[in-house]
Amino acid sequence: MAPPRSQRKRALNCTGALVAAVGLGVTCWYLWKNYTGEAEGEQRLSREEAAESKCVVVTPSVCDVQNMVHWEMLINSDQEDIVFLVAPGCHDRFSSEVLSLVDEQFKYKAINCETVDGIWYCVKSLMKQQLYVIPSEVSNGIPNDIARYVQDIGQWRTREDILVAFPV
Amino acid sequence: MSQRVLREYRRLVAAGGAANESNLHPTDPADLTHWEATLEGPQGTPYEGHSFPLRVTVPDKYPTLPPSVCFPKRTMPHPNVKWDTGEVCLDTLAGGWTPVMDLQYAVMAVRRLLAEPNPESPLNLELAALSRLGDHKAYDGIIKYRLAHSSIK
Amino acid sequence: MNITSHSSIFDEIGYLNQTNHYLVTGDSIFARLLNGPYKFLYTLHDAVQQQYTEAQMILNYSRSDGQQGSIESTSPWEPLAFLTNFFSTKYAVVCLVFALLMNKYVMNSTQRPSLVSRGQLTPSPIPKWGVYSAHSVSIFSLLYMMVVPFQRQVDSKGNLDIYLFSHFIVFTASNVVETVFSIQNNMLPLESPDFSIFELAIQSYKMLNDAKFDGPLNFNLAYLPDLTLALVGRLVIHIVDVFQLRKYRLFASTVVNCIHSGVLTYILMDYGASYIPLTVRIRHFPKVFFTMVSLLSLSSYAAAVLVRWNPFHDMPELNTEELQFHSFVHNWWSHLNLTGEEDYFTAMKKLALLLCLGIDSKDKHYNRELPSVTLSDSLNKNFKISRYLIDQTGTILDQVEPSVRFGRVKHSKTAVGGAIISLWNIVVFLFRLIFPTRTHKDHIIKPSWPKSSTTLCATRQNVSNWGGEEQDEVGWIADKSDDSDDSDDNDEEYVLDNNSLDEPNLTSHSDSDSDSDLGIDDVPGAEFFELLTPPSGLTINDDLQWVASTSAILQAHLSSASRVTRFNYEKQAHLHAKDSTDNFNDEIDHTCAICKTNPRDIILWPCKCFAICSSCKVSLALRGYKTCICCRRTVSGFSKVHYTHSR
Repeated sequence: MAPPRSQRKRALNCTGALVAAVGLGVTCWYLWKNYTGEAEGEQRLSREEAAESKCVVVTPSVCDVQNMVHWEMLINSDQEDIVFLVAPGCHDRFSSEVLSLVDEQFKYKAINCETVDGIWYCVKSLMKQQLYVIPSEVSNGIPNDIARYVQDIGQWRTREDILVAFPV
Repeated sequence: MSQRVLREYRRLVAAGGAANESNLHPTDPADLTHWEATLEGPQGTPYEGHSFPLRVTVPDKYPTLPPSVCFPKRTMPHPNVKWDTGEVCLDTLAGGWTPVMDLQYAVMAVRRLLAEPNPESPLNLELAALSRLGDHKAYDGIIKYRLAHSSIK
Repeated sequence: MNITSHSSIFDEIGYLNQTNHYLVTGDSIFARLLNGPYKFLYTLHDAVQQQYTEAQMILNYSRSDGQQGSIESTSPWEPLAFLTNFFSTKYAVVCLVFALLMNKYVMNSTQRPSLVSRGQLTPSPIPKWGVYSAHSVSIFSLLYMMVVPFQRQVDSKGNLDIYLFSHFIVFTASNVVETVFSIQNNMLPLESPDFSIFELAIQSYKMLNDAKFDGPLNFNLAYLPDLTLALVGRLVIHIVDVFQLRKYRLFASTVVNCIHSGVLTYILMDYGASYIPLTVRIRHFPKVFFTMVSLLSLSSYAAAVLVRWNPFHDMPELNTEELQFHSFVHNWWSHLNLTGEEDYFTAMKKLALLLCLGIDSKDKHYNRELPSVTLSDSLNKNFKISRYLIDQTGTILDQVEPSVRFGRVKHSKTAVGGAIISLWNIVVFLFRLIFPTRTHKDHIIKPSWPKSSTTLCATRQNVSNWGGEEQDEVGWIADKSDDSDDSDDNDEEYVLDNNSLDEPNLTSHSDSDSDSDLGIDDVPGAEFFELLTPPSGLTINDDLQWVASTSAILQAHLSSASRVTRFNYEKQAHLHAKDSTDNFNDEIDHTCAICKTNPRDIILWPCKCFAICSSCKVSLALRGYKTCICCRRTVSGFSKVHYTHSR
């Protein structure tokens, strides 16, 4: 026996509402998943790159501690994500004292800069997590906007600071 | 539009490999809207020794509209290429496009761009600034670093 | 205060006051929602009714002085009722049956396989005597219907009704007979645009309706010529069919129509315009209009010829052959492209259209180039204007003496303008006849060209600049710029008539009499043609040689890394010349640089790049390109090249 008309109608309405609700839910979930998935991927990538990435501005004092820190070990390592920005006056010294010990395939990790402004543009471009610099040895100090491009600025004052940052 | 692209494809096939030095080819010969090319880094530039895949997308309105070209993301350090997306800023493929040009011409134009960056319309601000600054060592160093770094990863 | 003003408004405009109409009593929101629209509709109804009654009153006044009040008050829906009543009359039924039957018959017969192979007459299943008897029956009944109104007075209403209906039936029967026999003989039935049976049905219905008010007087005078015209038109068709004289139908139709127009004009003169009923006016307006347009245009042409006619033969410049309409008027019959089977109306329409649009569309080639594309308003005008030197023309025209200007521009688009101009010309002509002074002649023959010569030099300078790149063509361009001074009338033509510059026919002929082959007799673009082709010394072996020379530049542009400058190109050209020039030419394809499919046929001005086809030109224009795709110069116009011979 067929149910009365009003009852059937209500049942129909209920089904419609249910279908609509489920559809809406699925759509929302899908959108949300897409959105967060993308964001996650993006974040993961940048975090991975910035995880232990370091950027060192090579100034005379940095060259001086070569005996103790052995920069070439850091450069030669596959694990260490480190890049050296060699300031104008230190090209020859850094290449003779450090780069000569470095494997050919890792030499790209040292970037010679002809100007101080160039150093800062490199810093901005590389977007490393850690920036190590001895402000007193860079003319005009650190520009204000650098803080936006790196997560942390390690401002060394003495050689001891360097040794603390890179324990042998 | 398909007519024109089809003709270009036939011509490329007919001309053979020698004429097509950047190996411009459709990703799927049945669908001529997506193409790929491989650009060799020009001699005397930091790109030397590397090769770059280039994706070319042919719009519906081609050739009245230019094809859009794109590098894979995070592979091309260049003042006119956005690092994070691979998007290329090239006048030839924007306002300077005329329908006389074809896909091969567009690819050649991108190749020329590798040799002659135009820091006046940058998509990679830092590299363009370095280039304007005249700090060639730092400029080359960054590019080499990027290329080596991404290839190791 | 407020209330009084309201009530006064309601007194004046009664239909606004609908307060006593409502659907639902009470003042609830529901009632208001329902009553609002209801009152509004009532207002509308009353307004329409008021308008209509007022109009009817005015009409009654003007129509009947003696029988005032004879017309009972009519409802506003009367016109509608008049229209809908038509569909329930016997006329409408006959129309419907005729249309259904004839359509079915024509459809069936065109689908017969025997008709697929046209040309051979299929033996008609109807015997000859049957055809002739049917035709003669139709002819006699038509003749009888023509004689009836003169023999008997068709006055009473019933009498008129019977006459009109039998007239209509005879007309329809004649139509049926003619259509059937034409289809049987694999011929198209002759159209009779004077009256189709539908128009005749409506007209008969209207006549009956009018006769209610006006009596037979109006009928006899205003409708009779129309009814007779319809009959005579059918009669002509029958006679022409029986005696196999189809090609003389146009002649007969013209004679009939002229007589009819004469009668109508007579009625118009005698009784005034209001005497001719609306249906008749609408029926014959297009015909009269087209006739008038043609007559005006032709008379203005005749006036122009008259101005040029001079018995003393000392003004050779003013011969009739330089008139732009000259060739048209001399070949008007072939231009019309008629077989003689057409109706007067069709022929006249064609003639008028040719006269009005012919020159214009010929100049701009809208019809030929854009058969299907409808141009959007955002279209860049530069691609639309197919004229070169349009700016120069404008400035020069302003400085030309008015008499010369009128003489030249008299073939203007509108016939009225043409008529005014020819009137002016006649005045000038009479003036000259009366005062034959020398100054006038100088005035007209040798106009001063203060600016034109410099402009021309400038444009030619451009030409020679570009020509420098095509090494073997420098010479002829230089030649051209030399004779710009000593041939005044050439210049005049060059500048003034460059409306028609855009018709360079590249042909394979290049010998001395090639000019006549190019159709230059009516297109004064000879100079332009010379611009495009080398002089007679360098014969064109190949009609595409010019193409090849241009595409060399294009090729150089494409192959070189940077934009091709003249210097660069010359360097390249030298290099190629050392290798082998022939190789270079062989590689070029002559297809459009954009679609690579169609042949190139558009030259862009002023850069003279010859790289695209007309359909790509349209798509470029629609996309708003303003510059040449090859050289990026701003485009100010284009010319279309028509190959008369292709490889």
